[in-house]
Amino acid sequence: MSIGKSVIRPLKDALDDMPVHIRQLAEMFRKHAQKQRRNNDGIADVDKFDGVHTVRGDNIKTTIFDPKTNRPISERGHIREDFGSSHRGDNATEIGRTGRSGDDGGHLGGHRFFGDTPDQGIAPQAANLNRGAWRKMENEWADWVATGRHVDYEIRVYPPGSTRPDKFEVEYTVTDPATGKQMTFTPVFDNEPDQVFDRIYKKDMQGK
Amino acid sequence: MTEDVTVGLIRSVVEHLRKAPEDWASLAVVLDVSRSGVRGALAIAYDADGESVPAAISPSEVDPAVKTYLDSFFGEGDALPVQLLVQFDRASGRYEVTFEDEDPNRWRLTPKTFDTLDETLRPRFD
Repeated sequence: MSIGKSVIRPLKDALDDMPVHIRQLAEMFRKHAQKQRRNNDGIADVDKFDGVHTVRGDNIKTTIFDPKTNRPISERGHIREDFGSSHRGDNATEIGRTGRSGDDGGHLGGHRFFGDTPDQGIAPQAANLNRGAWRKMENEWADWVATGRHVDYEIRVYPPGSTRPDKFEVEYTVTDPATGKQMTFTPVFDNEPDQVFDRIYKKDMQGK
Repeated sequence: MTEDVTVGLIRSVVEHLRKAPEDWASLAVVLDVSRSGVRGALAIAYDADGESVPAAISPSEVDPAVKTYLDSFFGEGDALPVQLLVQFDRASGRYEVTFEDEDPNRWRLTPKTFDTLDETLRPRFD
C-alpha cells in the first residue's frame, strides 16, 4: 500500500473534522503533495516555492513565496481577532522602496491582524492603494470580526513572485461560527492609484 | 447575437464556478464591473433542496466573457452598469441577467444582508 493511502489520506480525513483554519492547512498539504513526483532518490518537489507561517493570537497565515526572488506568490490566512494599531518593527518601508517611487510596503494580511510580518508577506503597493481601497478592505475585515464572524482569505499576487506586483486578486470567505453559514467575495485590485473598495461600515452592520 | 453572448456569459460562469458541490441545482453570481473589467465577484449556489451552499468565482476567469457580453450592449462612450446579477437554473436551463446602473451596494454582502442575501439573489423565473 502506498504512503498516500496508508498515511496521508487518513491524516487528511482526520483534519477535515477540525476547525476551518486547520482544514486550510490540510488542503495546502494535499495540494502540495499533488505537485510532488517520485524519483529513484526519493520525492522531489515540482513546485518551486517555499512558505512562511505567521501566527498572532488565533490568527494564522501562510505566505507562499518564490525562493529566487523572495517575493510573495500567494497568501492564505484565517482571521478571528483584530489587534488594531501597534508598533511597526518590520521591513515594510524598505520593501516599499523596492517598487516605484512613492510606493508603500503593503502587508498582504494586514499589520493589525498579524503584527510585524516576514518580508515575504509584504509587497510594494501604490501608496494610494495601500492607504485607500486595501485599507478599506482591512477595515471591513475588522468589522466582520467585531461582529463575531471569521474571515478566511487568499491573496494571489500577479505576476507571482514579482518584485512589484501588477495586480492582487483577493478571495475571502466570511463564516458565521454560530450557524456555519459562509459567503465568499472576490475583489481585484490593480497595483495603481484610485482603486475602489466600497467598504460597508460597522454602523451598517446590523444583526450582531 | 444577444442570446449568444448571454449563453457565453452563463457558460463561463458555470465553467469557472468553484467551491460548490458537484450537484448544485442553481446559482446566482453578482459581478462588480467597470471599464477595466470585473472588479469583484460574489457567487452563491443552491443545492437540490434549495439550501444555499458556498461557491466562488475568480473575476479574471470570467472577465473575457463579461467583456464580450457588455460590448454587445454598450458602446465605448456609454455608461456601464456597476453590477450584473447572473442567475441560472441548471435543470430548466433558464437564466436571467439583471443590470444595476447606479448602486454598487445593491447586492453587497454585509452582516446586515448575510442571513438574507441568498434569498434575495435566489433565481425565480416564474
